[in-house]
Amino acid sequence: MPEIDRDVDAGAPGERARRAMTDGVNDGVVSRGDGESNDDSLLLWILVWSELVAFGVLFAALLTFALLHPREAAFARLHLSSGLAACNTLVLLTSGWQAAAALRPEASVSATRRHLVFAACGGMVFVAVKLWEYATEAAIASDPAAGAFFEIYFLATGFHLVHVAFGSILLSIVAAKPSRPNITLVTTLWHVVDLIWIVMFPLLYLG
Amino acid sequence: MPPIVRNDAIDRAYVRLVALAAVAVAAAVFSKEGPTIVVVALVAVAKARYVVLDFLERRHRRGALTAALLAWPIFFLLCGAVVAVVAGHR
Repeated sequence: MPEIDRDVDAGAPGERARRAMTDGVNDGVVSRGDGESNDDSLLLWILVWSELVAFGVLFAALLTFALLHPREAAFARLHLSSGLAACNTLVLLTSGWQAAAALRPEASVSATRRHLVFAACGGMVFVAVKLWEYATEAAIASDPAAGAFFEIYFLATGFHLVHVAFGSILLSIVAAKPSRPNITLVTTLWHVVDLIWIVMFPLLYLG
Repeated sequence: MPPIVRNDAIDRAYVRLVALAAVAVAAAVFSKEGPTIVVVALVAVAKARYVVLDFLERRHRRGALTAALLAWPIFFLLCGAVVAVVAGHR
């Protein structure tokens, strides 16, 4: 009987993992909302927009400061490590690419895990580079000539850094126990973190 | 709706993103004047577009959500470019 066969197959650990991975896959076409209810999807996008609004407020503060105190902002920017930040942009883009690759419809469980682990490693490299960058910038941060620029800088980049660190941990957890809805959730948030950095980089370092 | 060929789309998007990042770095290295930030902001808008349309898979799901996701980086980068140009003339 097909029902019994399915139950027997489903008992095998490999088959359980394969079925968990293929939840939300329809005819080889993976869509971001598959495997989630509309409520889950709504909550996910509410979370995404709460992040975008929070960072939007920080960007507004930064732009207001740069408009009102252009000399202080220009002085502070001279002491930022834009080269390291550019390297971090490439790291985060590569990590986002790996996260997107984890949702490939034909990817095996091991390939999906590999992509997620690479994405998480990219996030950890970003954190390490950013901490190194902070170490070089800390000395100048208290210089009165920079005004309040570094307060906004450390608040915005620190908040983003916490998101990257937390996202890397989540990617690692999902890599250990991959399921289509969880991969969709964590990779969506990861791409939003990526999107925020793409906007933050020119505003902070080159504005 | 036509099936989304994810592999090609995300790989192509990644290559374009890296190329755009290289253009932005080159623009920043060779000049730090007002127009450069405009070039870098335009490149950042293009990068944000690829992330939203290909990585977030919104290319075949056009609607209010996609438009808002595309508008968010454009708004702040436009503001950033305007502030940079205004501050440069003060």
